[in-house]
Amino acid sequence: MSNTINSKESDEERLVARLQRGSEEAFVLLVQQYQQRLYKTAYGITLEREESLDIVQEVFLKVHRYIGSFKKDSNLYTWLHRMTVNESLNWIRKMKRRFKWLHRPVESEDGNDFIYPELGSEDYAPEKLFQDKEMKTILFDQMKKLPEDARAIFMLREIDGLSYDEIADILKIKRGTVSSRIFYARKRLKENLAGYFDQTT
Amino acid sequence: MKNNSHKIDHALLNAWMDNELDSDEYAMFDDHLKECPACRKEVMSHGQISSLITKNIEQAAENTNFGPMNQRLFDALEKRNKPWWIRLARFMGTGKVLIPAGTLAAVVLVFFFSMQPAASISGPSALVSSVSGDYASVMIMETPNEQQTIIWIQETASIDNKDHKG
Ligand SMILES: [Zn+2]
Repeated sequence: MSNTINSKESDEERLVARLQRGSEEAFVLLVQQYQQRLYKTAYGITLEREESLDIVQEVFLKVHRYIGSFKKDSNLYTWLHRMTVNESLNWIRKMKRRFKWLHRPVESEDGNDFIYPELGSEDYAPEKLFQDKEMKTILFDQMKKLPEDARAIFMLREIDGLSYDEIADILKIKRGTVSSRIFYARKRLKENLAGYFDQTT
Repeated sequence: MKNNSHKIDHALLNAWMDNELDSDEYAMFDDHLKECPACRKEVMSHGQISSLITKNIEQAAENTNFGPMNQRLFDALEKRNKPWWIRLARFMGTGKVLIPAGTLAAVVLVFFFSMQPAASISGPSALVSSVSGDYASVMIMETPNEQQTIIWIQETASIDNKDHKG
């Protein structure tokens, strides 16, 4: 992340030029260089491992197909990232349509529907849970409960570190919407995970 | 230190966490944080969740085996890059279908030969109606991926013009 910008840019330009000439080695390099970052983005939005791999694969196939029309002055990673976000959101929309009947009902406003037995047990130790696999399950469960758009926006902020303006630009929504969705996602997560964190401070 | 009971400005707090404040607001909220345990606690618990999320997603990415996906990707690209006749040849080589090369050539010859009298033919449906003669066998196949149609005609007798035209 903290490489000097100049050398990184020229590296990228060189890579793009080679890709446009149809170099297979360049394509392999591209995949190796970016797959993990793109996977993180896809996984953050979908929370599904296999789907995220499919999404990343699809993005690379698109790169291969459209690299010829890629403008040299634009940023390669931005392009890849954007495609990954779009593919991920498309997948979420598709799933939502397909499994509408499985969709969870809207939670009660106070978030009281969140009860895990571990919470009340005597040897409940948040510090331990924090590193636990159990905690991961609980966390992912809660993230999946968030409305998809709020989660996607929140994850673009948390995982990719994008600013409100950058997120607004990618998703073509208002900056105000970005900030309110992030606000909402954070609030919900905190409320629903409160029991696991409060005692650690 | 003692203003424990104020109403937390969550919007401000969010903007602060997301680096979305201008420098004046920043300085102000930083100062407030030093004084206010309630806001500090709030920031802390958001921070815990945030780092837990980041940690888990990052771990997942690090533990992911990209090998099978890469394999699928490069297979798909190879398919995309190879010209159709190479793929066709491979398909033929799988043993599912065996066509002697000579028959293929004969197909092409018969095809063009039979086209000669009907000069104004323009589309495939018209082509079919113009073929006439006796054939031992006609086989129509489709390649599995591309749906290219191969018509294999094995000719036995010379063409006589029995009228098959509809
Ligand atoms: Zn405060």
